[in-house]
Amino acid sequence: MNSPVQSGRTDAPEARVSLRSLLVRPEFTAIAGTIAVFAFFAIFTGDAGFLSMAMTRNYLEVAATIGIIAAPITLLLVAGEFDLSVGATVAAGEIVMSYLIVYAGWPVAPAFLATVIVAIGIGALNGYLVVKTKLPSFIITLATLFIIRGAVQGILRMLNGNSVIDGVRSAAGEDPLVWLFSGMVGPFSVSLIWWIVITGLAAWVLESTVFGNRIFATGGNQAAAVRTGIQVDRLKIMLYIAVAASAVLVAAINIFTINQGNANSAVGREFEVVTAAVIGGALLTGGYGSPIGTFFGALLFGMVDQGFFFTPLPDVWFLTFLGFMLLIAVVINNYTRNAALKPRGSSQ
Amino acid sequence: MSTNIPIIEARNVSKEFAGIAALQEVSLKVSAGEVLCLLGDNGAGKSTLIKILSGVHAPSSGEILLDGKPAAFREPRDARNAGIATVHQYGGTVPLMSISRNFFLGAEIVKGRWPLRRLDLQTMNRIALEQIQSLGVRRVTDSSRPVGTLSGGQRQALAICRATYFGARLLILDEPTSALGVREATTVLKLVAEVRSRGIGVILITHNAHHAMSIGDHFVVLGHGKVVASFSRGEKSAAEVVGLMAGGVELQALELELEQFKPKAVS
Ligand SMILES: Nc1ncnc2c1ncn2[C@@H]1O[C@H](COP(=O)(O)OP(=O)(O)O)[C@@H](O)[C@H]1O
Ligand SMILES: [Mg+2]
Repeated sequence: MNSPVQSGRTDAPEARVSLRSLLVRPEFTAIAGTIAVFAFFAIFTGDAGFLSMAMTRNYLEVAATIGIIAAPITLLLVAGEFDLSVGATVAAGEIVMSYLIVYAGWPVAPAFLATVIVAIGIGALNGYLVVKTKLPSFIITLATLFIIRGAVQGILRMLNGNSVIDGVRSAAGEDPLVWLFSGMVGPFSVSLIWWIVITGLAAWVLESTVFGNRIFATGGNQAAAVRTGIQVDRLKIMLYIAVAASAVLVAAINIFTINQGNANSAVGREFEVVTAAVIGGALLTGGYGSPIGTFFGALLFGMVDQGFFFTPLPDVWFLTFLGFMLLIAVVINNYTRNAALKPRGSSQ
Repeated sequence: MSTNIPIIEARNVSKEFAGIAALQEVSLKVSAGEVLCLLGDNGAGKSTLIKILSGVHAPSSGEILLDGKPAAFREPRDARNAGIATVHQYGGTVPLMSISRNFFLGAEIVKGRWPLRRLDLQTMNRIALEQIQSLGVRRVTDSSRPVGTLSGGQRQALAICRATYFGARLLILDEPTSALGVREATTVLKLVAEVRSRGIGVILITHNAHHAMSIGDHFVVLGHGKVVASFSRGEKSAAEVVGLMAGGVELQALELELEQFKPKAVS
């Protein structure tokens, strides 16, 4: 009745660890799901190769290219907005960067910087349109998705009559910076490091900084946030820029890993990153989410994506499987969040 | 000597919206340690008046005096900086954030140097809890739990506490009790009394004449944008106040009309 039960987002440094406090963490579902899926594939397809080093490397790579974008997307979702244009932005980044390296002969560093500037432009445009029109960001960024994707395909068609730019690696030659995007760290690709670092940064910003506090407030009650003097428009534009920047980082990883820039790259990535964030506990209506949860959401996605190959089911069933997982995750997340918000201690 | 200068005073304030008079020649004043209850029916102009006092609207004519000197608030921030805090219904809090994060929203306590500058959650938790408990809300024992777990009255308390902690001298409470049950409303009214005893001025907007009578020092009743009555504690009964709020004459007429139905209802 009057025991100090811990709830949802407790910031108490000496938070009592009870089963309940564990269950209502936003990350709970994604972590439990990851363990369950890993166990499932390990038991049933372990002998077939799921536990092999090559397989581990594969699913971590898939998870990383989702997770690198999903981390800033989580912050954007917490701020109450959406970005459907990230897949198209990856393609734009791939084409701009591989054009500069292959056709214009630029070294990697300036080519990457120029691509980041393009990303800042795309992010700022998305953010500006969302805050100025006050229309749902779902619609605004659906429009920019089409605009960017179409422009990338159209421009490349005019340029070389094709939808890809080949030979990125040979054009970059011995440029040491290539390692930053497609190098190996031990048995794993360097994208794993980017994923971990960006997740850690996003988690720290959201949970531990003033900016993060204001992200929560913006998505949790925008009117109240505005009244306390928070510049919600500026905050949202900054988050859109961060999202677009993460998309071109993935673009750079892709072109050096695959040796090619592709105007049709990352189709559907916008849904994959949101799936990871939502499995990780983020609320599409804003005000709630966890980059750590999203990390496990992306890991889960990667494991299922790659592990499915070993199951007797034809891989066309992958999406159905994923859909069920998403459904289960949101139902559990919804339940735990409501449990966390139940009034307590005020009843009697 | 200077103690009698009101914190805020409105003199003959009028406000028109596109030619329609929402307020006409309204005057009122609030001094430190005083509760002014602002009463009136829907559409009487209460919200318009407090929006003028808190810098959201500029008056069409008339003037606002702050500590006896003319003040021109260009935006809500000007009023806030002058120590005028408005607490909205439900306290304007963020339910999914912790009590202390809400408490310090927009004025967070940090530690460390720039690239590593971060929230000092421990200090924020401690101060928020101390402040809330010092206002008599003892049931809240953990300021790291989400505001969504608090009752409506506790959320009001949090917002009031926050305003006073950040230096409010005048609190404007817009219908703080209207969404609350009896006991919750009592909690908020006790809180208002506590705040008053600390020398803070309060403007309390309410529909509930009994809530007003229980706490108010002065009363201003608005009707159709004008001051219908202005009186001090003890000068009128609750029944009279209810009559004034409903626009006395109309209520008498209604009672007469209802009289006619009485015999029929009994038979
Ligand atoms: N922004 C506005 N534009 C036009 N008319 C307004 C505006 N705000 C209030 N009014 C009008 O002013 C009158 C007083 O409204 P208000 O101050 O909200 O009353 P109350 O808060 O006492 O219910 C009403 O007739 C209302 O329609
Ligand atoms: Mg009103």
